[in-house]
Amino acid sequence: MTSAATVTAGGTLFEREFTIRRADLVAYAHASGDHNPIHLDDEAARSAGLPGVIAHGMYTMGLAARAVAEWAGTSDRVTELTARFAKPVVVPAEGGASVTVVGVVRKVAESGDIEVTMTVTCGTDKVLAPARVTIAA
Amino acid sequence: MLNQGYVGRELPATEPVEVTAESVAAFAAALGQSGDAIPSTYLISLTLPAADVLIDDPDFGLDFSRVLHREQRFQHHRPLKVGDRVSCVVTVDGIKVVAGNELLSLRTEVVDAVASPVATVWTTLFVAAEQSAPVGADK
Repeated sequence: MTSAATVTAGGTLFEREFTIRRADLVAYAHASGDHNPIHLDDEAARSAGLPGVIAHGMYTMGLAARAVAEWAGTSDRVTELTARFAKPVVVPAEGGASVTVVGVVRKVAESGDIEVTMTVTCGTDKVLAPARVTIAA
Repeated sequence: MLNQGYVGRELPATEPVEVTAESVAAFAAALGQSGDAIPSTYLISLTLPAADVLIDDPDFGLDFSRVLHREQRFQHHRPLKVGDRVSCVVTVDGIKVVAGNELLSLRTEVVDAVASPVATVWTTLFVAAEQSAPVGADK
């Protein structure tokens, strides 16, 4: 499934859709130690000028990394992972928010390492821009 | 404004922390991730607390209520394993002023019990100007 022979620049490596729910953010706050209330409480988010509770940027980045791990079969092949948090992901109390991760091969190194550009969107917003990952051969 | 005198400053290494199966499982479960490998972003749970001394330092001038996470980068020098005892050394890489707001760049070297490099983690924080609207207002 991850044979280098099937991986060429410009090809789509993976496409995944994830739903982020408020309960996930609560679990992530505990697991990560990031208890910023803008990720947990509407009032705190609004007083920070946001429309409502937003996902931790690191949560969205974690989902992008999960898409990589599920394609590669393990997280252990990830040598480099970068993201810029371009737009917040607003997570409604009902139904949550849907985030799509598309990974496209940017380059395959001689070593077989795969450089991937990820487009991570929520609705029409690019929420991580850019996001990149290197997967070791 | 942040104290520019801190640029280049290296904070003391944090006390070694063990990567426990429980902490990894909780992190992976929050992301809905299964499997044995440690999530690629797990180290953030150690590197961000390592920078807490900067938040607690009145001379540095960092007000966390005006902070948004702007950029994040992980370079994994080797796969992290459950049972690793790791320590973090945070360096203030830069403070850039952009239209009155500031971009604070931190670099954290994560090393194992024999001081071998495990990962280098870069975090850029956007710090909104003191008199400005709340951080999310322009989003």
